[in-house]
Amino acid sequence: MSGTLELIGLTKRFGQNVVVDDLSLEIPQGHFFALLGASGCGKTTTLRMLAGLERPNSGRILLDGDDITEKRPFKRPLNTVFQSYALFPHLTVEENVAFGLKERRQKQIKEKVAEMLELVELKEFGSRKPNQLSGGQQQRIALARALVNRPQVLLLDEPLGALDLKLRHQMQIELKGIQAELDLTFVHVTHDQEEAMTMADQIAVMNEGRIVQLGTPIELYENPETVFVANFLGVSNLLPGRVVGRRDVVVEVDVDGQRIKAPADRNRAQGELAHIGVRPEKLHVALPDFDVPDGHNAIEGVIVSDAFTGVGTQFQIRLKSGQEVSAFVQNRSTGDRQAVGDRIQLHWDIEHTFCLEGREDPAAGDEARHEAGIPAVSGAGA
Amino acid sequence: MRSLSRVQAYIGRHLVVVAGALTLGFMMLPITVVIAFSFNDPSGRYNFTWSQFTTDNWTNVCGVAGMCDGVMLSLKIALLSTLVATILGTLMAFALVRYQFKAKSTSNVLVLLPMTMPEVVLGASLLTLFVNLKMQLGFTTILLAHIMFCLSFVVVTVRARLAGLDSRLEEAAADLYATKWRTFRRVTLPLVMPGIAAAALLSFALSFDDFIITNFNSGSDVTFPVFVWGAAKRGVPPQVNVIATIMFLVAISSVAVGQYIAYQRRRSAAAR
Ligand SMILES: Nc1ncnc2c1ncn2[C@@H]1O[C@H](COP(=O)(O)OP(=O)(O)O)[C@@H](O)[C@H]1O
Ligand SMILES: [Mg+2]
Repeated sequence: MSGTLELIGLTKRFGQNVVVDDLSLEIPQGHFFALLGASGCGKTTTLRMLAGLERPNSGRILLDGDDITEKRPFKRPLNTVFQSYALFPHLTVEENVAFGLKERRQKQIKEKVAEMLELVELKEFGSRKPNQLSGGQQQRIALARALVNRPQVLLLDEPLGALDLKLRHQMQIELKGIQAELDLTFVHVTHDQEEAMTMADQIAVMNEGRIVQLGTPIELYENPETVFVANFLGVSNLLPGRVVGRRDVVVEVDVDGQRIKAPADRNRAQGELAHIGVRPEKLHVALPDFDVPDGHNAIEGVIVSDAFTGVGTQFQIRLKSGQEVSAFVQNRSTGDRQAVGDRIQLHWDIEHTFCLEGREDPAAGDEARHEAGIPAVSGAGA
Repeated sequence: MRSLSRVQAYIGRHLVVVAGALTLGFMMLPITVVIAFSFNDPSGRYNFTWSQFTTDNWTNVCGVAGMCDGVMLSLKIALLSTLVATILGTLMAFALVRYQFKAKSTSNVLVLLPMTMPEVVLGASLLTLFVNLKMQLGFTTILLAHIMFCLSFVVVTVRARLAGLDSRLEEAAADLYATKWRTFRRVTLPLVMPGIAAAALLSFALSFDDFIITNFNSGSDVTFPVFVWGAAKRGVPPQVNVIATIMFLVAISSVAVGQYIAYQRRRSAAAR
């Protein structure tokens, strides 16, 4: 089994508009790889170049070391699940699934089609036409039609975008299962950060035609390198400050007179200006006189709102600077709980702190997240 | 009182059906007359008044001198011009939808011209053209004229169908290992086929029925419409009604067969 994709300096322009900008990536065999970005950032165009439906202006595409940049689409051992499914309306479900096998003059087409329809649990629907199926069923047929060819790489363009939430969650699990079972390379395009995080082994976050960060979901979440990624993947509290000290293991940042430390290997600030970042669930909410443990950062504030959700409480806390941060506290405490109006002290592990370039717009990536339908929780201040 | 309002309610409920039936009747009436008079045994030269029922006209269709030759000529010309116009027009429609070229928008307008031009003008100017080219009027000139005016209808019909075709389907076929030719054969052509078939039927009907342009350019050759026109001065023989009835029956039954096949397909698909 093989299917290692390499993209080297891919660039695509439509007129003056640079849609994919010098993009380089390596997608190892057997990986579930997600290309994540807001709509219009060039994901579909990238996928179309891989499929051979769009010619790059420059750059190369290698599959297991072979240059396939100039290969025509029907010669590439890759298959696509299209954003709109693009099922053939004049063919039955079976004929749709058999299409690729027939073109390559495969043997035992009937058996392979039946097996694939079984896998996607639609074997009773073989003689229907696509327009007699629901959206979810059409989606599975599109998947079956591509998978039955055993491509070295499967390209999926927002395959779950048209499904409702419940079906989407179910299909996420099924897709992941199928990928693991067949040990195929999946390149999954999505604008839904939650979907990418749940399914992918590796995520490349795209913005304006470029890869802004590449890593596992955990790496991206725990150690974002830019404000865009910090805001796009989950919620981040970002506190503007000035770098006042750089040591071997930590950087020190002055945030409204408080010294906040962050690990040096998580520091992306080039100059003096920095954004200190920490995720809401890493924060501890303590009384003002609480003795903050060693190795923790601390900052004071007042609770302005709390929302009890059962598993925990979502606090909004106003700092001295007037900025609000959110903290999520798990429901583990007994006895007294903090309430609105209480003066408190926030503290968190230095290891949970990241330090980003201060010249970046603290709202970068927010809009992209909202577009993906993730509710706004004020992260970077009011 | 109550029964009156009930009648009103009844009419209200069935007004659409009644209006529809009346409209249909209005459309079918001339055809009914044509069919009925194909069984008439006219007393004089004119087949305009009913005199007596007979099947002679049906058993002796070609008894009228020259009529069946006219029908054969019309059929031949209709088939040939349909074939040529459908192929050329389809290719033209593809070019107009799929390819970018300088004269594209101009061409899009120009193909409409023969449709909008009055037939008399078209026929007369074609005659001028043929005479100046020193072409012998007859089969060839009729055929050329028919291909010319059928072409616009084919282009317009196929172009509409093609423009509505989702180009992503062709990309999907390419992604599934189909070459350009195979994509055309397995995806594009089947999806455009209803448009092409409609265009061909339209061409056939237009050609078979054309009188004005043909009359200018037929020389001494006599198509069926030209024959009927000529015969009308002396009295139209009832066999003309027989031919008209046969044409009508062929058209009706081909539509019925088409509907039946579509119905069967839908039913078998729904049953499974
Ligand atoms: N064929 C095309 N011609 C011109 N512009 C295009 C074409 N395809 C895509 N674009 C532009 O490229 C940008 C990226 O598109 P796309 O790759 O579809 O984004 P995404 O899939 O990330 O939403 C968009 O601004 C879009 O308008
Ligand atoms: Mg897209």
